[in-house]
Amino acid sequence: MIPQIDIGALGPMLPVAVGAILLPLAEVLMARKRTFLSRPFTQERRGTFLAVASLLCLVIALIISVNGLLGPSRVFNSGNPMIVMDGVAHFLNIVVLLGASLTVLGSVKYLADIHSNHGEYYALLMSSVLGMMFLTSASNLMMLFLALELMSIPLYVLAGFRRSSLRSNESALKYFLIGSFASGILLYGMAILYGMTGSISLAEIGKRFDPESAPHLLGAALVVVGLGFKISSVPFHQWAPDVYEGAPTSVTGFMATTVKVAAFGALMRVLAVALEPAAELLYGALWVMAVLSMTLGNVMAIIQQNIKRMLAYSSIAHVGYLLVGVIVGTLDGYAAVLFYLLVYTFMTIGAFTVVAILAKGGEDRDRVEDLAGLSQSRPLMAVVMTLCMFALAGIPPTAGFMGKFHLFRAAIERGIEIGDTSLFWLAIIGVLNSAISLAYYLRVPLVMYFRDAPPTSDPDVPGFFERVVLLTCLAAVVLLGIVPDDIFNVLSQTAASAQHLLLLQSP
Amino acid sequence: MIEAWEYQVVAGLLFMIGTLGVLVRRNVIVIVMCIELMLNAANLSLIAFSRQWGNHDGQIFVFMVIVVAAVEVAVGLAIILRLVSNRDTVNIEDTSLLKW
Amino acid sequence: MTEQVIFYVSAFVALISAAGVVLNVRNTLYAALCLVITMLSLAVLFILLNAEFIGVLQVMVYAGAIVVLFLFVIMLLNIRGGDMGADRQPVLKVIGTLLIVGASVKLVPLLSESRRAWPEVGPEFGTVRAIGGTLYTDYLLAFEIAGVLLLAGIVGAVVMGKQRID
Repeated sequence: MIPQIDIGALGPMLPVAVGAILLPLAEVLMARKRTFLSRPFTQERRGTFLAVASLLCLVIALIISVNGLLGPSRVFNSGNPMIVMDGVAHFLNIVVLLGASLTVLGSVKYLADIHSNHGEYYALLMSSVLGMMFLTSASNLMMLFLALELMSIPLYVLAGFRRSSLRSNESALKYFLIGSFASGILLYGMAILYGMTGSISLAEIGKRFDPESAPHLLGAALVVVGLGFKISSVPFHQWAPDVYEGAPTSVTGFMATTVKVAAFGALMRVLAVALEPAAELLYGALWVMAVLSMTLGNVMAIIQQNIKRMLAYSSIAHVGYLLVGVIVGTLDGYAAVLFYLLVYTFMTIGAFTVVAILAKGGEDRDRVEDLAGLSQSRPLMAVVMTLCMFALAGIPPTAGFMGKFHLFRAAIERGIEIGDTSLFWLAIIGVLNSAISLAYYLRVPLVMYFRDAPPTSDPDVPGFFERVVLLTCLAAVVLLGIVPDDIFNVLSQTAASAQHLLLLQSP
Repeated sequence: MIEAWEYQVVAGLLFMIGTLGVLVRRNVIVIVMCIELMLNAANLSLIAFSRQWGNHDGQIFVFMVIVVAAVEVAVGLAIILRLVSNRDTVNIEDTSLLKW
Repeated sequence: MTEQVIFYVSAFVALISAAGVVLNVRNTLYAALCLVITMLSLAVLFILLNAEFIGVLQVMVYAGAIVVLFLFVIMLLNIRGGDMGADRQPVLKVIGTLLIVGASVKLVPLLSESRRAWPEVGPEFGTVRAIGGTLYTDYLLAFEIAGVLLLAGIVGAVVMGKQRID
């Protein structure tokens, strides 16, 4: 008996899945001495071809996702709801796909620069993107676990993609050990949740969850800890700086953005649907995590000399800001998180791409001093880097300011509504932290504009693809800061549609 | 008849042994083995709960976990092999970055 | 009665050999062998719980493939010493051990809290037929994703493991 299923719900995933399956094959066919065009591909041409092919898949998926964004929500329900393609899932998929497309564009020349131009890179990237897309839409524990692993396992390899570099190897090993440890914890938490409620569907768990019972709470806590490792929130963050520093820069940009987008999607869904009855207790724990992430991330970032490490700590701080929106838990809060994830993706990938372009002759140049004098030699790169830093710090009128404004506004409005001072404090601590973060974000433009380049410095010219990435990030950071209201309204609608579905949806 | 909770206690202890191993051992291969122990503890828990609720969800979950564990071990050991061929150690503290 | 004996013996063996994996600091090979014993005793527990198919999978995939992979890598790298003498963080170890032991003491009564009677299940429960039927209907999508995951794992392991790729 074949169940009635809505295969169309899988629409956005299919092009990415096709890419993930066919790219390794294309890579092997093109690596043969004699191809069907009877002319061997050089390594560069092969890399470019595979990048364009994966970009094509990503763009098709992007178009399908944009089409689905304001359409009706669809559920892939084969006797048990597997994925829910609601507004939130579509929007997060769009962010993931944008981030992945920018990463692909930014990788072509970088991979050649670090002597690691292997075609498997794109296949692994596509598998990881597929995992992320399922993670944002998974509506039962099994899909959540599988999607998380499909996202993470290719990333362990990508982190070690500079095979001859010891730093990259160690980064991969550390990411692998911490990642699988976190999956172990998450899985045990899921097992307990299943055992206590008798169902693996998030909606069913939400109905049967008993916040009075200790084993229920143990399961919930283990799941939150497992996801806390994935979003690298304090106190589960120690791996992030090391892994981000050692991984190839293009991969770091990918890990710092899309992984967080997908993991936040999963976290919001788990908290809002399955663990909703335990909200008050869990939000207390998340409050502490948010405050610690913001403060520790910003303070540690000040003393870093390596840009990748600095951005790693900055990303920990941004996890803290994002958690504010999750804690608020209203539609406005969720919409603010979605908006901030979009903005965060652009500003972080922009910054990492500038660092990636500087790599030359198999060496990364990722210390802050390496940027000295960039404003004279490469003005475009300097402008993009400056704007990304301003946006990350939250200086108006960049997109970062609007993102933070919406997050903290949601917290304060909710605080007034329910008369809860802890939400005010959260917003105040967030604003104070943004002030602290100026200390290290502004150092980068200062070095670029007011320090002369050392005579030996000869920064690389951005290639065509990289120029596209830089200009896209530039445009996004500026435009999202000027016209955020329209987008924000759309986001409120998507969040509303998702909530509507989440509450009504039952197996 | 064995009580349901007895299985859960075995699973819980197994999970704790695995976690302890991850935290205290310094040999990366043994750490990966301990992560396998954690996954196995979760598997036992899932199977026992599956029997307790009389539905197959837990058993299918374990099926998927076994697939994931196989992939994880294959990739993890490949990463370890790559590291060892670049640097002759399997000791986690000899890898300079790896500080807990 | 027989069932109880089988349960207590295999649970005991599973826990002891799991402790063997952690405590055996001399020889990594022995740790791997302890892991096999844990897997096999868990398979016995699975079969006691009417999960015949998963029990067989446990023996075939975990004991047969995964641990063999471990053994293969240990032999290939020719690891002898384990991690003797690398004990540079004894304080952390003691704290970790105490924490975990403390947590276990809390965990055991917590887990034994939920006492529920076993339901009767039909003879079909846990057989290949029943599992296969559910897997290919209700959980079809999860099955497909597992396929992509295996492909990604193969590509990843090749990228990392191969001596030189071009």
